[in-house]
Amino acid sequence: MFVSFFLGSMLRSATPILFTALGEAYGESAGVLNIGAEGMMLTAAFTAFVAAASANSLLVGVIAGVGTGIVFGLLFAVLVVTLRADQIVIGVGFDIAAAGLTSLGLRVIYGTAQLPVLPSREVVDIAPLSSIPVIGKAFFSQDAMVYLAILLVPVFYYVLYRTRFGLKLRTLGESPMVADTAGVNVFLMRYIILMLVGAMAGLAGTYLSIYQVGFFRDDMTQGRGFIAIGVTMFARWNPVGVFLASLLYGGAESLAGGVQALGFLRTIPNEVVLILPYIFTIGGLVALARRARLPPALAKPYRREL
Amino acid sequence: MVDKTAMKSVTLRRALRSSGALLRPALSTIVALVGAFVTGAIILTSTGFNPMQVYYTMFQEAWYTEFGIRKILIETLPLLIIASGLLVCFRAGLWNVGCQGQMIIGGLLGNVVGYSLGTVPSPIIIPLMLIAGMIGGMAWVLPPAIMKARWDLNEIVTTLMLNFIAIDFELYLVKGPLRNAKISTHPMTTPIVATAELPKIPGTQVHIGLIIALALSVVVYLLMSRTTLGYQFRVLGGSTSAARYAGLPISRLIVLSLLISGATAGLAGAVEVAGVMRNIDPEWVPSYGLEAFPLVFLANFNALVIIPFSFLFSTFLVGGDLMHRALGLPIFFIDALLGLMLVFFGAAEAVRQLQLRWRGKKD
Repeated sequence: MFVSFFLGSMLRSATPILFTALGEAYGESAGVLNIGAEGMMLTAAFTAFVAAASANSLLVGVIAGVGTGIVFGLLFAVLVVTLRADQIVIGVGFDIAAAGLTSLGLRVIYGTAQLPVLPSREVVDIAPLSSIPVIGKAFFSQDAMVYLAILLVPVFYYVLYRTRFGLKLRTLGESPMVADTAGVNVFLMRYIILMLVGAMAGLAGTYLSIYQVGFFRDDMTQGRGFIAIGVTMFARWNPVGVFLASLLYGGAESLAGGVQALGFLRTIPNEVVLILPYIFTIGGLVALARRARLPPALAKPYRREL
Repeated sequence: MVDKTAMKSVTLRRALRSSGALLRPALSTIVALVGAFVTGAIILTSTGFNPMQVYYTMFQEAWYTEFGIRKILIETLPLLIIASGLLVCFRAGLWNVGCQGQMIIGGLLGNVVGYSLGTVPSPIIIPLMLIAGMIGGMAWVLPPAIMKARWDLNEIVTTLMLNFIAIDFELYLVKGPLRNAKISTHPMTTPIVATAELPKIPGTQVHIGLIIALALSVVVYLLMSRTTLGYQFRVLGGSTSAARYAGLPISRLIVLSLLISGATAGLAGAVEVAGVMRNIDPEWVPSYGLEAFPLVFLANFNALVIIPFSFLFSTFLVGGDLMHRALGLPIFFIDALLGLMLVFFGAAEAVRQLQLRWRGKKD
């Protein structure tokens, strides 16, 4: 059933964007713009693949990928929070370096040999629900990571808008000075948030390489990190909005893949469908982010003027 | 009575500080280069390569072979042109990461002009081609520019999305409407007519695009340092609120600076087509746009300093490619170096800013 397959693949395509965007939402709400998300995703994708292949275990891959994300989040924090370097410069530097290092690493480790095959992902079938026609297989017969991503949405929403931690976080983005005066340790919080951002990007990259695709390819993120940033912006940093937007993205990517595989609607040239995800991102920004109020302290390093 | 000793020491301190002012920005660049190469050496050693051998081969192949030198001059061109334009928009605080796409569109448009105006003499068709390139680049950056100016939509995301779109659009155009019907084996565009090709500088193998690139750098230098517009860009880049307070036409400045960088990227594309390629392959995705990024930073946004730095960067690229063929080290190592340079530069600049604040507080 094409629709069922399409819906299922929509969720899988949405998952990397969802992970990254949830993290970015927290980061940007705290005033940090992690433009290096693409690089973090790519690096995590690589380490996850190498670890999973060496240990022949997807779980090891996940640990490696998330760990990589946290490490890079921490590195980013040192540079951007403590040294107060320009977030854009460091972020873009991460992206360029990650592309070079991962492709280099791929060749150094595997040379021209064929890449090892990973253990296949385990689908968690939620028994009675997955028998529902059409949507059953798509929504209730996915791997654990997809469920994790979806479950994180209400968690992230709740923490951001209904807890003191979330309030402190949002204050960081609005006015770090106010937060500081109120006793919040701006630097420590931003460190923690950035490690979370890195972890989420790590999860996303891990999912991409060892679950969704099954191996690592040069530049396999193909701009997803930036798309996630775009999604975060036009969802106005609201985790629920992020979820919906990620689904839309997943739909666009899924459609592109489906058209190619099924030769569906052969009259539309291939390339037109390929650009759907990118048009979607721009369109989303124009449609929804125009009146969005950016967190005033976004991308500005915090200095204590005493 | 003025205390002459006190005055002397103050003057001396001031003189030292201001002479240091020239040194210190360059320090970040040096840190960036050294840091990147040292980190690169660590990476090389851990992957079984000898860093000294790698670096030596890189420079030797680039500078001591005729092939190397020639390639460097050819590669410097588009890099320099793009960097000159990027400098303008970076100075205005705007991040155009879509230069690849703008270059592609500019190249395509230039290509089309280059073969459609068959019987027009060289002195007319060449400028037309180059202008077409600029128009292509500008058209491609215009939507993100407007989106930023009107609605403050992040230009990194928008220009990058258009980048990806350009790559797919190119595939479609070259395989479809712009495909050269005469060649059945491989999709490519129709080549430009002979009169549209850029002539070579007499006595050398390099085409006059080099002169265009150098002239452009001078123009940009004068623009940024001697004109009101350049000053306005710099104010905008320094602080948006200061610019607003000063009553500057912010929307117009945003669009203009982005258009300039788009125009240069498109120009680079047209120059490549007119001087080197003659026609376009569907998978032509030039990487100069991304390589120019760290270049502009390391040259400290100085349009004249960009000239030697373009040579330096194309040395890395050309040398890297030749070294890859000689030693088998994957060429991605060079990309890693460039990324590291940018990160180290950012870190060094940050430390420098921190240092300046410390000094400021002490007095």
